[in-house]
Amino acid sequence: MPSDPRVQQALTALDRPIAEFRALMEGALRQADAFLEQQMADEPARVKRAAAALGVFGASHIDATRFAALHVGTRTATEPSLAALRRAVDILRQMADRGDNLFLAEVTSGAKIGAVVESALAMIGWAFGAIIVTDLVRGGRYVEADHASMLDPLQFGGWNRSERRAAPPLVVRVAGASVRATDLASFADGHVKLVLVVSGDCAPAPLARLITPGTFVVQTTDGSGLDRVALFDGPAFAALMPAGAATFVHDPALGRESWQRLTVSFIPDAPKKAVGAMSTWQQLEELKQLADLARTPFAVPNAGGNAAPAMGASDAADRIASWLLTQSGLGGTA
Amino acid sequence: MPTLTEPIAAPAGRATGVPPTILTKREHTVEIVSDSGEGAQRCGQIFGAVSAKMGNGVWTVEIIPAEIQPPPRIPEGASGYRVRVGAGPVTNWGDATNLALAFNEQVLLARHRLNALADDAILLVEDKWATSEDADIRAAWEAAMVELSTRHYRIIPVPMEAECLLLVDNPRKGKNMFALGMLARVYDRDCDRIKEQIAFTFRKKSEAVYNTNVQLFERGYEWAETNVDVRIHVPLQKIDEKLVVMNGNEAIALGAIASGMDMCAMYPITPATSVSHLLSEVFEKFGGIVHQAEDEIAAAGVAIGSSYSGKVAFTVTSGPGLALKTEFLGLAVMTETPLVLVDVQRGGPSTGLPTKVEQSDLLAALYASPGDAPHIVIAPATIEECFHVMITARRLAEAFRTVVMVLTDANLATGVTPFKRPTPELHWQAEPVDLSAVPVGTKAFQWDPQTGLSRRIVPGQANGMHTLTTLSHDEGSKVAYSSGVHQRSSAARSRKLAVLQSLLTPPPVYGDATGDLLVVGWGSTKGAIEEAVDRMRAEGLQVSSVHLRFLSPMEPGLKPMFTQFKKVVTVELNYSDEIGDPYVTEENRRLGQLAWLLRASTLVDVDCWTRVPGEPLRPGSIVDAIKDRMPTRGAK
Repeated sequence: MPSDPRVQQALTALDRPIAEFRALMEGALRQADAFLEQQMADEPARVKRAAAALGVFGASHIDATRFAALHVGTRTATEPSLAALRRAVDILRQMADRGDNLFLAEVTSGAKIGAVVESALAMIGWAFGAIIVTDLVRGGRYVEADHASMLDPLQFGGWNRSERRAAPPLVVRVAGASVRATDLASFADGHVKLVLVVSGDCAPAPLARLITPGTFVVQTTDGSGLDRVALFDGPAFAALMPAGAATFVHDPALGRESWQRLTVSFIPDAPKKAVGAMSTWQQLEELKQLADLARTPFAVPNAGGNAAPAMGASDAADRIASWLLTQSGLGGTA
Repeated sequence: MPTLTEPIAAPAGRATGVPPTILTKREHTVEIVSDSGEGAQRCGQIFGAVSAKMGNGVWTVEIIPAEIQPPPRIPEGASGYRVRVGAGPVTNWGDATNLALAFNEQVLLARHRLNALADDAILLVEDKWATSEDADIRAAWEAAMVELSTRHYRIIPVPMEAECLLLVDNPRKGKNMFALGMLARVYDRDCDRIKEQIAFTFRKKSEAVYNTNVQLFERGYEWAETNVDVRIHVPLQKIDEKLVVMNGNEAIALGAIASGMDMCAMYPITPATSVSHLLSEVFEKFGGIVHQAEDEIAAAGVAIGSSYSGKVAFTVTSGPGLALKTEFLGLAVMTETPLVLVDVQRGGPSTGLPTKVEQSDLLAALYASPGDAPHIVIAPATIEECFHVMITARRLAEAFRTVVMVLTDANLATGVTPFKRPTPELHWQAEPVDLSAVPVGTKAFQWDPQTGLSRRIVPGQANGMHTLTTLSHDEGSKVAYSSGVHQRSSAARSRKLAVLQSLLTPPPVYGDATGDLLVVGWGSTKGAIEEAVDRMRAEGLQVSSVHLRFLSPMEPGLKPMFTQFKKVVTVELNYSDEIGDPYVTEENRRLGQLAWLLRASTLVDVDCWTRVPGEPLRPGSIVDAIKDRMPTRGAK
């Protein structure tokens, strides 16, 4: 992956959800390793394991050798399930070995951003399948005919609710001309978080099309707001844009209305040239969409009774009070 | 004896230009005491935590009034925190306080009347009450000073409120940080660590709140620098290993997480509630759930249901809650559903002493459930053990398909001490329940004729379908009232305890294996008992002790151990009659609860010394009591 300090900036901002996903994989890996080890354990190893399972308190009061001799609970797994477990371990190990690259994707020239993201998420889905197989084998529930396919890459469309909620973030490096926000809309679910690192010419507000009431969306040129992506309890899109792009944050937690949720800090002048397949009209539509969503629904009259500029979006209660006063003929007297 | 007015007129100290006296002590006990809600506990918590992190041994005890919001300025309303700081490990709260910092003289009186203060204690006390506009308050102050002057205390008046008013409008909200500053100066604590701790304490507040508290802290520090003429130096130990500092309830919560438990179902009850407070903040991150049920009974039911479905669950309560849970406890035993039940004991019976420590639930823990309901009862003896016992409890509950009751108490629950940071171990985690198809023909309770153990089958498991019943049932879970079946099933459930007892190792004796007197204890009294034993042995007395963790089944090897001593005495925090009290005879004397059990299981004539003071036992009190019972001196 070509070096770009902004990629590292995005990964750093997302380190918490990335660490959580890594912990999920590493936990499954360690449990699988322990189970395999246990299946092949001789008597001393079983005693050692029994002592460990009793904990520090138990080990100092209970004879682990006699405890281990009691049975207690060591099940012998079938060979097909052990084979599946070994494959799951291989998959998880491969994923772990990829390091940060597991959470990175690049849209190369000619590729479609949706397909690149789909492919990268399928790898994550593969890890989910391996984790589930680990659990199934350890619990004695693995059935080759039903579960073998779980060890194949899994497209995002096949992810269940839990997997969508456990999704790690993905950082996508992309040229501005390849940004098609509508191709990403289908990934807005669970805790999926996509962060685009955009370079070159780009439409000024491509992510405006991804604003929906429950989706966190941020466009930034300096990385501000990325930390909120990591913390948001839901799907999120972010773009680290080239200088000159629109910058805004749409945070669903801030209110029921779009103007409450959306804070636009910069809107550039109307675009003057097409970018990739995006005509100037399409780009302008995105900017208008952004302005419309951010517009407060009413204006407040000034003391002279003339229409005043809309108040800032920061105090909804004041606006409602002013509106009520205006509607009841008391405007300008308060 | 100090006069009434001498110390009040002007605090002797740096203001006179005299350098402070530095007293080097192996240990020192400090307490901060105030009306409820003035933050003395927070001050003490920070002081204790920082002392531990700096390398002192620490044991803390909360001083809690019996009422949640008692009236101000009454001795009964004393609320605070006691911190015993040592140059080495500290295992209990000790005997008497050496330095007390009081926000009014009435709460100080409370501590004086409880004999909590050493005869030469240094008392720093808010002096605004001496000049109050209210004549009654002035009179109360005067009377208190007269009463306090009956001892050799050194009283240093402190204008806490006046000093705090220079920084804040409401000193009630800031005195505790001023007090913390004074203590930091007197005990030479690391101010940066304290500020870190203040930041952590107020992490959910604004920066302005943090800054104000730091200013108050610094003001207190400076005031003590100028006006208090004594410094206490308790040597620090080099910390070679990673330590954690926590109370017993936090240790229980973290131990539950480390053990891989999936669910905590509880209903709030003092002093157990804070287990769920911590869990509700972090349990979900580890895949767990905290369920606050509508009552104690439901909490037990939810935990049992969760466990029945294949998860590992526990519930936390205190005495009154245990009383309510007993029916469900019997259900779990009868259905052989694994369950961990933590009872954080407090004074009883009934609602008793909600905030005070006692060890009065032992017999209830063993026998409260009607019918024969054998189950495991374990009592951790230290805060560190509170963490580790949860791993063992979870494992035993599953391995033996039964209830494991963990008995802690308010002393462990709220006391704070540093201990070696546990290194989580993968094998501590609960393994997934074996959900492989049950061999055809396997019965729901296929008791092994030798051990009484049987495979755990959960709903939905192939070939494992059966009807669960709490009625007496046979191996196939069929209701069966015949005497043979009930005898057989009772034997299977009981046998499991015998099997576990056969796995236990005899407890070690603290001291020599033979001697004049053996003290037997359980639970949180370990530190105080062993310190008392050390003192008596230093005087040449042949005293040893043994501390029990497994109370059902009882630990093995006790009878032969007891016979090596001329006398065996339990020391417990529960009630027993004293020979010599009206109507009390050898025949009708009610004994300490462990003493009952030991007499029954060993047939040794075990004596007891027990108290219910609503506070932990003091090593000095144990020494006095045991000396009275030494066989060579003619026991009572």
